Amino acid sequence: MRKTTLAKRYAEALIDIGKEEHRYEQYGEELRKVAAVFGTAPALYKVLLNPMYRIETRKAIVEELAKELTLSAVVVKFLSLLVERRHIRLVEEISKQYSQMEDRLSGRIRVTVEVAKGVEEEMVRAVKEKIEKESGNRVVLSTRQNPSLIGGLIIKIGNTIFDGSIKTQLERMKEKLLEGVS
Amino acid sequence: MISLDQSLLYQIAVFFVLLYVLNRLLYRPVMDTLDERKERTEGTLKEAEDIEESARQGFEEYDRRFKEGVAKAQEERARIREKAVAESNSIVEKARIEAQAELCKAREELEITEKGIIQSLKENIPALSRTIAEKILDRRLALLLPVMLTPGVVFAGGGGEEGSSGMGWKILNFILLAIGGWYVWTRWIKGLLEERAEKIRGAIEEARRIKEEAEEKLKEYKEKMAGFEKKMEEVRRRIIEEAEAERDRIIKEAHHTVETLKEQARRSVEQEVRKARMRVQREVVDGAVEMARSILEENITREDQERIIKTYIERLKLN
Repeated sequence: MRKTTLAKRYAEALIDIGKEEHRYEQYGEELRKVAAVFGTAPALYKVLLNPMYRIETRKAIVEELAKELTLSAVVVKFLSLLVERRHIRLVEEISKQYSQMEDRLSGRIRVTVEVAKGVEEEMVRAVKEKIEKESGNRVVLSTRQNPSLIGGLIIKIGNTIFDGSIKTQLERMKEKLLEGVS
Repeated sequence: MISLDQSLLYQIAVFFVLLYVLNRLLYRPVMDTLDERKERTEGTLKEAEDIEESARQGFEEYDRRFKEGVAKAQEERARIREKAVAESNSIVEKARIEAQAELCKAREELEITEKGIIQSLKENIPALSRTIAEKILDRRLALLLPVMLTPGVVFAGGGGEEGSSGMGWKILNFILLAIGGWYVWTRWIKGLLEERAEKIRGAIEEARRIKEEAEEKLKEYKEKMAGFEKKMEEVRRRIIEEAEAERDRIIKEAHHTVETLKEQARRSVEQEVRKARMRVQREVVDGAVEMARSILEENITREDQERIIKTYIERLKLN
């Protein structure tokens, strides 16, 4: 809980700077790239949190990483601050919180749709349009296949799930038939 | 110097006269009084003691017999209770065995019935599953079939006098002795005797009182004994009544326990029936749903998929 709260504060601070500079989307992209690198190379946290290395050395590693990812000066300074305050381990959570704030700021929602089998592009577009119409936000939709659904679909918008799968319909029908039994 | 002459005879005569007089006037009354005292005091006391002893023994006997009577009644009470407990245990055990047997019988019948029902209902699973699948796909697949579920006194006296040899002196002696004796008698002895007699009367009176008290106790004992049998019978009756009431209570509790056992057995059977019904229905429903899942997996077409998604999307409300 404390971890999420702290990550939210860092994300808010960075996005405020981004808003002032009208570059919050760019900082968001850069932060997501950095989070992806830490996600695939967790050993980086050990090095950047290890007091055996001087702080200058650790900051130099961050700068080296920045060059590779072509990060902006604000994001490099932000990452150096996280290393200095020993909060670098929060970088992935900060990225997640930042993305949510960024989406709200842009009037954008991220939607994941699960289907049993591949569906026509036209059907995916119809789902996207319906959600955009209902939410009034721009929808960033991603799809994935889940054969256990048998048919129908599951729509995930943030923490909300709309389940229209045949698998869930079968479970509900089973509960209804057993209701009179218990 | 001591000489033997006729005065010796006088002395002897005087002695006997004195002996006679003293015997008549003093010793005999005294002895009589002593005897009387002894008789009236000690006798009375003895008699009182005897009576008291008799009363005491009587009371002891009374207590002993009473305790024996109570003990016998208590033994009888214990026998009644023991018998009641045995009867109670027998009633409860018999009911427990009967209830257990009923429960076993009901379970066996239920098991047979359950198997039969499951077998019968299984035949309907295909039809139920097909109905489920058709409802989900919102189209007909094949034929529809009907579905079935269901815790101390001391006295001293005496003394002697030696006289001269002349008869006159001896007579004088005797007279003086008699006067002295009379004087002593009237001034000291009589008073003492009277005082003594008074004490004796007191003692006699005391003995009489003691005797009366003892007699009173004896009377009390006899009265008590006269009512002993009645009281004993009353005590025994009360104890037996209590025992019988306790027996009735024990038997009543046993019957109550039997009713409770029967009620528990009835509830157990009902519970078993309810569980069996649930098992049967769950088995049928699980079977039908699993079969419907297979039917759907095999029969769902791209058109079904698109129609289901389209229908869901049309009804979808985010707020």
